[in-house]
Amino acid sequence: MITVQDVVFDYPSSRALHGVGFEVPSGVVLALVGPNGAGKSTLMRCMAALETPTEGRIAVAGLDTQEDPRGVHALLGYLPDFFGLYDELTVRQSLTYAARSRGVEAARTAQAVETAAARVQLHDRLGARAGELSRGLRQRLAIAQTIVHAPRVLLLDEPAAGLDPEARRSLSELITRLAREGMTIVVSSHILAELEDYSTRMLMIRDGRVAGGGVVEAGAATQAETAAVAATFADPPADLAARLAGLGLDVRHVEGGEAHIAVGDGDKAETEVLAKLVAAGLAVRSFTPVRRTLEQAYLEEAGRPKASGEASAAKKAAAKNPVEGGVA
Amino acid sequence: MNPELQRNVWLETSPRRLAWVAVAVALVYGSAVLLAQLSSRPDALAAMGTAGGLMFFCSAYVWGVRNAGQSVMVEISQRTWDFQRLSAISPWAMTWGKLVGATSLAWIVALAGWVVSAAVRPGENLGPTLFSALAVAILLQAMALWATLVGVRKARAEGRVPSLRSVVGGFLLALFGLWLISSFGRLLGDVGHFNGLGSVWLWGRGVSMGWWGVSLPVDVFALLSTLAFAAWALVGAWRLMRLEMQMRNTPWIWIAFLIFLAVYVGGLAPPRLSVDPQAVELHLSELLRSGGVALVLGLTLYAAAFVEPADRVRLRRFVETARRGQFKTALDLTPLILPAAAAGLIAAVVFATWAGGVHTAIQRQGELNGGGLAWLSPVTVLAGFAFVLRDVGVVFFFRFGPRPRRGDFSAVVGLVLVHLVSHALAAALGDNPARAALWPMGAHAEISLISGLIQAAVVWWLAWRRVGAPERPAD
Repeated sequence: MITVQDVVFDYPSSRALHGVGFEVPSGVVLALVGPNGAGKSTLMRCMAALETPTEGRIAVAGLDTQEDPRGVHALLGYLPDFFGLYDELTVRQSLTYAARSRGVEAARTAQAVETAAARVQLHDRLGARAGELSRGLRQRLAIAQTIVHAPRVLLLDEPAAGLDPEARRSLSELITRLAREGMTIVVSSHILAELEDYSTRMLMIRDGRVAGGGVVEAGAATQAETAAVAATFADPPADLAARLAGLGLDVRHVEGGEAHIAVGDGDKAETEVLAKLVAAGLAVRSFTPVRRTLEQAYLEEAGRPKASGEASAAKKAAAKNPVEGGVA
Repeated sequence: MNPELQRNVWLETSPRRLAWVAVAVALVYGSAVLLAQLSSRPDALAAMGTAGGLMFFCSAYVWGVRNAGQSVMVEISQRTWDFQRLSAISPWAMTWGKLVGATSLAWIVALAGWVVSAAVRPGENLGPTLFSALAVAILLQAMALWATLVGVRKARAEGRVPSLRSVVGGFLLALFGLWLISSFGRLLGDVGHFNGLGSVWLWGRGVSMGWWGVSLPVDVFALLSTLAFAAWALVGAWRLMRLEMQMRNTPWIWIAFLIFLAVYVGGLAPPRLSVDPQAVELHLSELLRSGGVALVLGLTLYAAAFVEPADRVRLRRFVETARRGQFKTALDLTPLILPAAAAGLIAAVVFATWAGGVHTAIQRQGELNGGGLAWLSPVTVLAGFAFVLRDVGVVFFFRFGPRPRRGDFSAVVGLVLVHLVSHALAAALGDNPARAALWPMGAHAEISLISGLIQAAVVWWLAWRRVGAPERPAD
């Protein structure tokens, strides 16, 4: 759905992106992660055809952002990190303007407004002025304005910044719902925890470059596939690691009375592991599926050699500028 | 309905605002009548007319102009501009939607004042003047929007937030430029005898006006001229809005504006006193005409050098695409100064040709020294153009410097310094022919031309080094 090729972007006094390239398949929720100042917002603005890259090419649904920026604008919805609303307008007026300005026909506007308001659960506040809404509701209204024309691609830059936990949960549900309806979504954030629930792919940007292995599966995508189980044992034997290995299990690590054991694909894989443990006489106290969290994915990708082979530099950068809520 | 117009009307003409404005307007008119009643010669009607005129002036020229500029500035400060840039509204609809919508309430009050002012003086033939007042309002408001968009684009290229102060400064400079174009004949004093719109604005009305041999009442000429410049201001705002919405602009509209300027200013020259190709009078009048056009296009070249954003990426792409033979793309990226420089060069060559013609005609009449125009030769004119190119190079050198936010200021300081140093050196050299290397001079004009070209080449080489310098990584 989105192809980014060797994108370089220069600000008047510095280079923000250094040959960034990746692809975003249709229907995924891509978490664009990286420390503050990594170039995420600049990349988003280039993808939204609001900025022209110095070099390279970006295509959204086959449309080149430089050759057909207006076509790209029509295809996507973009919510910048610092967005504004027309405080004096009501929610209905705001959404009506958004719909009409994004090309929704006059005859369809009322329906589009109702639908967008319902999607963000603002249908009961259509008469309220935007300036009277709380931070969370303003965020919802901004998202409703962004999706009122039913875009195929949604770009959200730090959408949860400043939201309380309840509003974050609500935002997470909304993004999951939109993704389920087939929208391709790119969400940028430096707070990994907020991306955890709905992201299916992750791309790490650091110092204006793609870090790690490019677009990787992460977060929600890995929830279904249990990569490993965490088992804790009552009165664990001293040679726990050896005994587990002796059972033919793929043990990832053992610490104290807890072991992380890799499990294969299929519904019975976890059951078989548990059965082996019990049959070996080990007192299993808990047995929990472990998924690869976004934080783990981030840390694993941060540790991978970069394209230029500067893995250590990446680690140093991670240590210098930790991702909020992730590493810390 | 244009969504941008509708949104602005929602915001501008809310019932609360309408009520407040109605109260304020009633108070102004009521106070005017009350003051008239208290005076020794009570004339309520005249007082209403004065108040109407005042309301029109304040609403159309101050409030409306402010709102036209603010129609974009507010979007930026409220962080809604990106949303508008992504919209499906056409740039033209966005332009007029903002211009009409953001000024709608101001126009309601202004038009009411205009009607009152006209109604209380039914016997006077004020038609063109009244309509000129409206045209000036449209011109000023369109210029305010244009100046704001120029400021927004410059600020983005310089990595800063546009400030109201710089936009107001740009607006006032543009207004000064317009006045200069329309009345620069006055500035030339006895040499020019040019007519001009500025003469009309500043020195009254009632005299007929000649333009390319067509005689028009000055108030009609003023109205037509104002409407023409208002139309160009609107076109300018629309072209900038296209760029804001990431569309591309070919340079043809800009070239059309340069041609319009040349034709407009050329028409203001005094009529030909003779059509005899041998007569000095014919050559002198054409010399004035072409000189006036060359001067205005030269000033436009300086203005273009400041107006365009200092966007080194765009400049580099222009050069790169042109070098690769991708002329369609290169055309869209053409810097404003290139057509302006080409137009200036053409005007300078025409001016130089007439300068040569004047000398020939004078010599034919036996005045071997060429009268008082001995200093003006074709080579002098071309040398002058070379020095203009140098100056524009100086502007580029400073605007693309390491501190882009202070580029305009540095460029002005740089220009002043270059000229001050040149004059100081020239004064120190006395009658030495080397003076001609510092300034376009009639005597030793060849030295001036060669020196001007060398200086221009050196300055542009330095400027291009700055444009092409690699970006440093982000801190």
